[in-house]
Amino acid sequence: MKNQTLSQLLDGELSPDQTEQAIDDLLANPKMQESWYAQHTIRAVIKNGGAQASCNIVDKVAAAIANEPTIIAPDNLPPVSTGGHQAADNVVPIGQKRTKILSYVAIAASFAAIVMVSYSPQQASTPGIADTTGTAAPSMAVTQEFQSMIVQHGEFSGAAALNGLVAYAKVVNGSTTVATR
Amino acid sequence: MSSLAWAGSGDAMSLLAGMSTAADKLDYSGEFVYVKGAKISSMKVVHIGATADSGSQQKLMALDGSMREIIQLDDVVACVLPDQGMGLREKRQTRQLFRFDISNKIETIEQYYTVKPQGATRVANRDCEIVSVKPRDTYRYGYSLCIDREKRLLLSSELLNLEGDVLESYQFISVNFDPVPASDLSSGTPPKTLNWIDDSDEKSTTEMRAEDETIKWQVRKNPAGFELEHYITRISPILKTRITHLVLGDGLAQVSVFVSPADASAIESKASLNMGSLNSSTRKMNGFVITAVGEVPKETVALIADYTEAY
Repeated sequence: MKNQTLSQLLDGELSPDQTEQAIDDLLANPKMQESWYAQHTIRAVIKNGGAQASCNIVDKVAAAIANEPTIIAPDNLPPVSTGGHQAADNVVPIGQKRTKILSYVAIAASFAAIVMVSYSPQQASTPGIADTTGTAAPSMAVTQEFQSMIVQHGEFSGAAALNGLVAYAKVVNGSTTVATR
Repeated sequence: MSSLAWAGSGDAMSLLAGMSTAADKLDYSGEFVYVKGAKISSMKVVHIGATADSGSQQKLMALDGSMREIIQLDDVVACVLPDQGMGLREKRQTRQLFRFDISNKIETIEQYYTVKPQGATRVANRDCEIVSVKPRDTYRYGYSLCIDREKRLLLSSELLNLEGDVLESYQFISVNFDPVPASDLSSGTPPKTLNWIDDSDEKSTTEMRAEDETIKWQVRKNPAGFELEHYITRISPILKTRITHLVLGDGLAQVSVFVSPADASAIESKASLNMGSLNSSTRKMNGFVITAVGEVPKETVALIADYTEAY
């Protein structure tokens, strides 16, 4: 997979078939995944509008997940024939397509990890003050939404910055995280 | 001047004001470390100060991990990723980055912080004056700053929580104030060896802006002393709809408030988020999702989110 194709993928400039193929190629190439993460993260932080560059592809990943509820709720899978024995309801057949979707999930999970968000849904105990009890993993969409806001806030956050370097220093630092995941 | 001569907050405030403008005006180069939790990153910076004719320019280069460079030439930013064989050019929508001028916010800062000189020390082999910035209430964090005695460049900075623990810090380990030639801003990677993505044209950025807005938002009563500094309307590529972004500040700290239609948001309930020094608080109101984000205690973002309303 060429970098140019990766860029087109990020920009949503590929046809559906090309996108499908590009995602396949991306999933098969860890180094290219790193490049994708790096491109996405840097674009997201630099661009005032947040994670614009990746939204198309991330949407596709999210859509893939949404279209495959069995990944999220494996109990809903239809029984699978396994040599004459009916599989248990909670057995997930890992066929090619499902492997691919699981890979989508892996990418999505890695993307979420980039943001390094600790998310806590709240039951407010005091008006205006959030309770911090209870945690849950944020969904892909929630993670994206928070990331976008953090990125946009970063452009205006100057306090404690070393000469205003903070925002871009975090980008540089952030891509280290990307590269090692 | 000896550090003992720094007698009061007036001098400390003068240092603060000088610090904010020095960062934009000075030529300097050096290396600094950024520490957050157990993670330490080192970076090299080259900076050419702003003149009457042009804005400041600079280059940051990661010294750890894979090669990464970020080069800022006025309002165009280029990211160079040699290991990935690619580069990215983009145009910034605002010039807020790299600008942190507090010279006109002295009174506001003194209202919410106690600013005191704390003696002198040495950072990056330079004499610097330590300035303690302590919040007068529990709605904001504190800072411990070390400002170059001669050049007024901020050499180190610690963000402190209410208990005085360091949340994150930056510190130069070497710095040089010799004039920086423009050639030093060049990437170490020949541009022709990279595949470039170029988003620096005006069209790509102006398309992000919303043309009109039917509902205006405000944060009433300036909670915790945070006053409106910026009001921005934009199209969110994530939510694919118009969002309103308010930026509030107390002179040093900023809090952003984002308002988006609830039917476009994935955030379903009152929620908060913590990421090191950064906290956020979200709530829903009349079909909108309101999220306050900032490097302030969680109570502050919750209060600001609750005080945000349409008018």
